[in-house]
Amino acid sequence: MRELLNRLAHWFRFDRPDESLAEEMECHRALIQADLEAGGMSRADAAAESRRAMGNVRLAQEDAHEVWIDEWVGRLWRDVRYGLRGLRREPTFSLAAIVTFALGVATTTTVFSIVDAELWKPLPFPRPQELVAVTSRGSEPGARVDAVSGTELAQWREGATAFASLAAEGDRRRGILLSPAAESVVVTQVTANYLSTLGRPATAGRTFAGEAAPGSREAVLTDRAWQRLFDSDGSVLGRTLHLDDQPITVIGVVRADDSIGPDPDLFVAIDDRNPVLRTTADVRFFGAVGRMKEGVTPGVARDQLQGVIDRMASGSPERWLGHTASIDGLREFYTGYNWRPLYFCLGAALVVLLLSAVNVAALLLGRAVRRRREFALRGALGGGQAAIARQLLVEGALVALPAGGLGLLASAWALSVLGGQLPADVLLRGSHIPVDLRVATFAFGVTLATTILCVLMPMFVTRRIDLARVMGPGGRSVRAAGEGKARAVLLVVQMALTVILLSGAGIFFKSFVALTNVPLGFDPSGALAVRASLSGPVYDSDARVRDYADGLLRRAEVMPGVRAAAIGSSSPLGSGPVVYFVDPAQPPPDGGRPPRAIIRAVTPEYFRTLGIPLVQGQTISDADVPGAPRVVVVNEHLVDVVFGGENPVGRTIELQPGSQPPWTRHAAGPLLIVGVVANVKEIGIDEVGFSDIYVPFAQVPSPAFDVIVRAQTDAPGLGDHFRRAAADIDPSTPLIGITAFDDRVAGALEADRMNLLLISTFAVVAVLLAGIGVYGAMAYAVQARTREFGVRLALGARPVRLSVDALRQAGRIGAIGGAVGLAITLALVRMIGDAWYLVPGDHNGLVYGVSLTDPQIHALAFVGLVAVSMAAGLVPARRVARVDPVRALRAE
Amino acid sequence: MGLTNTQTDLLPGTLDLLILRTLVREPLHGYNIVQRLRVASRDVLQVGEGSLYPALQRLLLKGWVKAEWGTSENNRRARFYTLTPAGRKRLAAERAGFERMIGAITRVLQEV
Repeated sequence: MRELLNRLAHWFRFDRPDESLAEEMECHRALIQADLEAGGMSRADAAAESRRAMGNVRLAQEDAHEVWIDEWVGRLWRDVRYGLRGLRREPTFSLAAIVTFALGVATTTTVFSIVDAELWKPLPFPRPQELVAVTSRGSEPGARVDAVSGTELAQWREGATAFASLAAEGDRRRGILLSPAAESVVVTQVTANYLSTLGRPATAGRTFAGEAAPGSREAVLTDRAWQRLFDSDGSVLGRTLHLDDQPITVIGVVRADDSIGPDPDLFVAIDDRNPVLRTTADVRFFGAVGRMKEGVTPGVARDQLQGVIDRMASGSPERWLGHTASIDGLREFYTGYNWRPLYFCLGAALVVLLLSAVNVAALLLGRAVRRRREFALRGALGGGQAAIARQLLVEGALVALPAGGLGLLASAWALSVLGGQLPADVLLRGSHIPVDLRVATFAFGVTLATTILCVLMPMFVTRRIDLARVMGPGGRSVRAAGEGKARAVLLVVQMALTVILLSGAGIFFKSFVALTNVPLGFDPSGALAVRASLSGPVYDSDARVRDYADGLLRRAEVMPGVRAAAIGSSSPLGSGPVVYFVDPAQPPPDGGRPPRAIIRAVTPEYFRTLGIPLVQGQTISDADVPGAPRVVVVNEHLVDVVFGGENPVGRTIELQPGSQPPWTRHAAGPLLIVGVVANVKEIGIDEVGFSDIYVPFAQVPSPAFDVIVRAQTDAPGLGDHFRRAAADIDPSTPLIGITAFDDRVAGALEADRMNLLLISTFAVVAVLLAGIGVYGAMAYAVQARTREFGVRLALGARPVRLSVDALRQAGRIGAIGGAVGLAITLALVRMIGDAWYLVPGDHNGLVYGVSLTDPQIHALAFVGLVAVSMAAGLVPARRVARVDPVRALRAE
Repeated sequence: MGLTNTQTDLLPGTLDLLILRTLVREPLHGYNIVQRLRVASRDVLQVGEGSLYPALQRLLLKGWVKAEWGTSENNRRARFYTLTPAGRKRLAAERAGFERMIGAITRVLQEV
């Protein structure tokens, strides 16, 4: 023990032992010399004799030193100190290597953190395999998860006994908490069993009891909010605070957890069976979170829930007919759908890491070459290859470890900055991605692997250093065998990787441009949609629905700034229910299903309000009222699919009975086609075409509909006007929401914009790194050929000619690397196949309207790379022309 | 002056014992220790610093001596080694063991 302490004490005074021992032994020698002088020897002789008598001082020192440290530790320590000295001697090299490396580690670690948090990290709840997302969806294409009311949730609970518990999370909203200072907080309403279903225990106080008492307003804080608002003061527990003027009681604190979506500041339990809630707002949840009973499989749970939904559909077909249940793992449901772009980003980040590794390898290689005399000498003096390898590895680690640390810090910073920027529907966990042990381990692993990679290359080169050539006459000009080749390989790898990213960026750019240029079929600017949903016994009859819709439309038409107003059962980029139909004049399609179309009940002004062009015939008119002949307007897609592009005006179609919503029953019987309108985008910009059938709202009223207005300005008061108008007609039916069509379009492009941004960032970093790589290589090559250039200049070569020569070398590197990169890119494209395109019913697309093999893009990437490479070579090339032949020759 | 680097023909561990013994009365620096050993052994034991300094480091490591910087007779900075209480105890034990060994060897040599 004592020995260990002494050892440690010695260890930490790392610079002194050798020096002090040297001083001590020098004193010893001086005393011997003094003795000899006293014995009559001359001073010089005494000095020489004393030195001889001392023998090999260094060996004695090393022996003494090794007493303290185990052999290999000692050697390692020597290597470290030697390496540190080397780094200090070449600060530019060290800085360049560390920064480049850090850039790579930071990029990869950041992306890894995001991917890990979104896809890989197990959920931090007990027995996470039992937790599932319990949802249902309508049958229309792109249908969102049903909003389920508290009453409906209760029906699910009763019917689906496969679940130990079924809980739900309602809307998140901002509220003002008086604590007593007014603080803005994010509040999520949850069923009382929400926290216990997930298995999130209270860290202070308690969580909600199984079922909230009627009228109780209990709240649980997350520890983040507890810390932020109350400084983690325990006395807040049990206190009654005011949230938006409503009293709430804080009963406990849970640890904040963002693994299935960012936690709010405050959970408020709602009594989902509260009869008051049921008849008015009827609290809505988006699906439920369930914990399955032990041994229950998701399939069993799903079938059971489907049974429940089918029973509910017989009671209220309007609401539930054709809806399907689904049970998904929590992780898959909340973040799993995102894996395609995430994996893609991870791949791009790894390429950037590789690029930075190659740059560092090139730097280390350059350094190893500068030191070839040293290595040759060491080799000649019996220093084994292993010793040199160890030395290089340690030196690599000395660059890599600080760089890894730096990268990790940069990554933590990037995540905190990115957090607020990333759109919530692209990255669910956007704002709270932690840099934890997993991430740190990953960063360390990446650093280690990269170091080894970086070091292998110089090692390979130094292995072949030939002593005679390096140390022999004129040896300074002799380049190590394999060095040139190694450098060229590194550069080609770098160029190739850059081309891949450049091509990728090109593909995404072209795709984005294509997406923004896709005709939407309607004009979104200045158009708004306000959703109304009429339910309950009051709106049982069509007349009531029609009255309400009419009333709201009349009021909307006269609102300030409104130029046009219309009603549609749904609207573009908002999907709609799907019906099957036939053309009675044609034989039924053999074996196959009849054609499908989205059905939409609209008022006459619908097409004008949204700017949907009429292609043939006429639109729906004011004459199309109940009792008048039944008419429809169809879109061009339907004409192409069903009528082979011929003018269908005057022909009829008939809807097929099926699982469409009941309001479409009014559209039974032959429907006369009176007009054809342009296609509109229904669920996304990159969708495959849909057929549309427009029926007159007057003949086929739907109980849920959009009031669509085109307003002069983006009138901010419009929402208020609508709320007042709705309250005026029926105070018990609030409007659901107001959306601008511009926002719908932007929302549909959000993920694509994000992808483009990310790949562009990667590509820019790659180009930068590649540029640095070429610059470094060229600068070195010019330096190494100084003698040659000097000779050529002395023999009368024109300086410009030499510059061009050097520049051509840079261009050649770019061209070869670019060609290799293109080959790899094309191989990758072949592997990707159609995985990046939208496949209906399977997955969404990453790109649209662009061929992955687009020759223009790849050619541009190639040319761009050669240009970058030559630009990076420009400065060193100009330096060639300034070589002074006399100095160049003398320098050797 | 025959100071060499060759290992002295001492029994293993004896050098440590002898160094500890020279330090009993007063702190000494390296040169002094060599001198003392030479004089006391009447020029028989000539310890080279190739052995001395590693041995001193070993003793430091074990905590049997401690080192302090002082000024030598030629006014240079030199390290003076002092026996620690642990070193004193060690010396006594080693000495007893060594004497027993020498006695045994002597007896064997006389009897045969």
